Amino acid sequence: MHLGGYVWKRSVFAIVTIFVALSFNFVLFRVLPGSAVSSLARVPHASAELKHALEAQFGLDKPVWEQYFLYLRELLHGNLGVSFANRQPVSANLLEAFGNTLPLVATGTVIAIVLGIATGIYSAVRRGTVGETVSTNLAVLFYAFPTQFLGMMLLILFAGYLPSVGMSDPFAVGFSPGEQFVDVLRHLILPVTTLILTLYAENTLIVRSAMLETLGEDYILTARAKGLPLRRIISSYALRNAMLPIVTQVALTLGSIVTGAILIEVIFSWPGIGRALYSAVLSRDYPMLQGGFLVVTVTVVLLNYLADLLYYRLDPRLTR
Amino acid sequence: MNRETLRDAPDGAETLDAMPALQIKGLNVWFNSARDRKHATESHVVRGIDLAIAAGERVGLVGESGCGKTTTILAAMGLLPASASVSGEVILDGRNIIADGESGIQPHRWRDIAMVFQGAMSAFNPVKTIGWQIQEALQFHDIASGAAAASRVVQLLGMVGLAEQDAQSFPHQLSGGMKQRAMIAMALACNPKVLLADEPTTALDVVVQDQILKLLVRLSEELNLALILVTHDLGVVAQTCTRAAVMLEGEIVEAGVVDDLYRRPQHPYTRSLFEATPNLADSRQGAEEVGTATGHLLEVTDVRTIYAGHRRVRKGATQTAAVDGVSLHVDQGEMVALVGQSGCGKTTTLHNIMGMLPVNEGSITINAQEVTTLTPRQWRALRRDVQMIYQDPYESLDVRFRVSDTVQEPLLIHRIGNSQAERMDMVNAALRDVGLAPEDYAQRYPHELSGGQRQRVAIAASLVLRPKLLLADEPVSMLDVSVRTGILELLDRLRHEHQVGILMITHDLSTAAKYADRIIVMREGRVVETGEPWQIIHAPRTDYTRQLIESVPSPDPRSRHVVE
Repeated sequence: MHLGGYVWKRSVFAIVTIFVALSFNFVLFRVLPGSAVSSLARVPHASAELKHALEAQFGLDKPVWEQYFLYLRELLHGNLGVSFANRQPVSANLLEAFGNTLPLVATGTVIAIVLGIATGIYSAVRRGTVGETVSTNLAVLFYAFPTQFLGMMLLILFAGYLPSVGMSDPFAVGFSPGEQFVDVLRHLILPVTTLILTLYAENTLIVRSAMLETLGEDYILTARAKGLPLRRIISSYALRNAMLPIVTQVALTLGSIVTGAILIEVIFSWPGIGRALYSAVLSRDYPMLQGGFLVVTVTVVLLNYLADLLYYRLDPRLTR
Repeated sequence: MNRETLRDAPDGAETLDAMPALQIKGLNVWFNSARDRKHATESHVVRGIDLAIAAGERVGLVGESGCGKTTTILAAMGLLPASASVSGEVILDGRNIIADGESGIQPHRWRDIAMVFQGAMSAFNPVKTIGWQIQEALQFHDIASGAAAASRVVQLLGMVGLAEQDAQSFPHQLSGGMKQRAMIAMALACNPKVLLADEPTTALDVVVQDQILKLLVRLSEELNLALILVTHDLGVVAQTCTRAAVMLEGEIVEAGVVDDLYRRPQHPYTRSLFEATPNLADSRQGAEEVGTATGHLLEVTDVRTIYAGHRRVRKGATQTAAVDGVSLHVDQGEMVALVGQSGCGKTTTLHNIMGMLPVNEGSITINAQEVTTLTPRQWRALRRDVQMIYQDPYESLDVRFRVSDTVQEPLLIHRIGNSQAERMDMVNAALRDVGLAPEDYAQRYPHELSGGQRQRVAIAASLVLRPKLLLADEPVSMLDVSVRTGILELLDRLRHEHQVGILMITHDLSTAAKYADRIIVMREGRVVETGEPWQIIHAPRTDYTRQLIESVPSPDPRSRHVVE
């Protein structure tokens, strides 16, 4: 299969997945118990006229398939509906929340992946040493830690020294842009640390086992016989081949980041997408929830799509 | 006793005219199982090896699995794992290169001593092109860089008979033989003095093996290269090497000129190795009368099989049939050998007969019953009569089953025997049949058995059902030479005692010639020739059969055809 064919196939697959998820999203909110008007619009004792008027206003008197096409049409125009909680368009709410989540998740993930790969390589190459035992067991320990528990512990330990709530100091009036930046950075420390510690360990363990496998391959022996130095054997041979399973696994973990950040954002009151979803659940803000699910799904599918494309670059056996 | 034979045998260094290119002196290797500190055991796997080789000379290091031959050459390159401790000397240019550990040996790797491995399949980095990997060696050792390196790569590939564009290929795009050629090209990149080849042809079929051996011989002569050839196959050594050393349990029990080893073996182990090595000259003359009046036990008529849904098969492209009009038959008590190179369709044929792969055309009857149209449920009853023996006894047994469980399982599946006691009697009888005393072996697990014993257990598990037809897929190719004879004799005895018809796949023409009543030669999905062993070997009717026969390395160094 050639590059074009491969990319085409992965693209179609990604689009179909998103479409199925969108439809599922639509169905999910139709099968929720209770009438849309009485429970969703929270007018429990509405008169018959008011009910009809509301149904007509929200288009709920139309047949389901027509509602479905309306839903898809509005989605294409970027209309995700209006939040029950603050009467703002859902898309605007989500965009703001997403903008807040991004620095948290991006920093945390990148550091966790780098740290995970570094400790994983160390654990594989130095197998049998004290350092490896410490590194591997530490990874197992953090892997086993529930996010919320770790977050709470860090919060209790460092609450006095580091900001533990929100993204910025609410009393920081008149800060210069530089001071604002430092303030946000300080607020990032605890949530990002929690994210790193819960994410890196899985990468360590995956990289370690993938590296141990490639280090036992015949081509490693060839490379050693060729007189190549250890550093090159690890980078061009062992790690290069171990990247194949690692990329697949990392893509899978990336998918859970958006949802995984919910716990962290709630604990540290970070106004990101996770907390937005959490408060939407509490206040039964269905349009907001529906929009949030959509963003999560699309993010996961896109990340996996990128991993597939990367995989193509990494493994010549796949396509040539 | 070993020391004595060593002194009697012509000592390596004395027969050399000049200074040896490489000399191994008193090499010892111990492996330490340090994982478990309480029960740390040390095994002495290489015991005082002495070996010397001159430039342009080819020396064979022969022995069965576990004798320490691979460990010896890995030690010479300092490539053993950390759990190994080494003593002795490896002398190159008058210096002991293993004296200073890693730093002492590093500069000599590939520049002076290069290596070719058995697993050509996985010896290359799968994500880099062949050219990249050869060029890496050139650049790292400062032989050439840039355009000069690229042209040297082309030159090297030319030397081993590969084309210029193969440099752009990834390892998976080359066949096994081409990969081994590329490996040899890479090994020669830095003009080494010594080439260590560890079972370089074991994974290849005879015709390709023959080509690779010829290539190695030619290169060692042209480049004045000292070649140490590690192999279990005496035929390979006899055809390529001038001298050889036979290893047993970590020691060289006998060393000398190959012709002496073959004609006048001093050590009983050398003698037994040669006796166990099949020779085309041993081919049977005339088949026994086994024909039955009731018709053939197995009859395959004009079978054609096309692999559907193969990725490479594009729409409109002509589909190549894996099996294309094959007809053959096996009678009761008869052994028929199906011979051919890898990819010739012999395994597909076997899977067709077993009903594991549907046939597109043709008919297969077992006991006059048409089996190509049977449903899986109908097949189940027939499975009792048709049993299979697989190539790899290390994978065909369930590691969590005791021997008795493995052998008893088919009885349980087919609901044979009324009581546990009755079934155990059958199990014990089957074990005795294959030469394993039930009281010693019934309660063992597979990891407590040797390769040959495992294969015996696998045979017992098919034999316990008293099948009429045995299908054997390369039953001895994974086993050591000295064990092979036992398994083949066992199959031979079974067909006489129990009147089992046996269809055996083998790539080894000499095995087929010694044991089979009839040989069927296959090529590219077709039967090219059928006949009695003596006729096939001595009066082949097709060029292909002749080519196949000529490729088989004879253990007799005088009937050499590789060096011509």
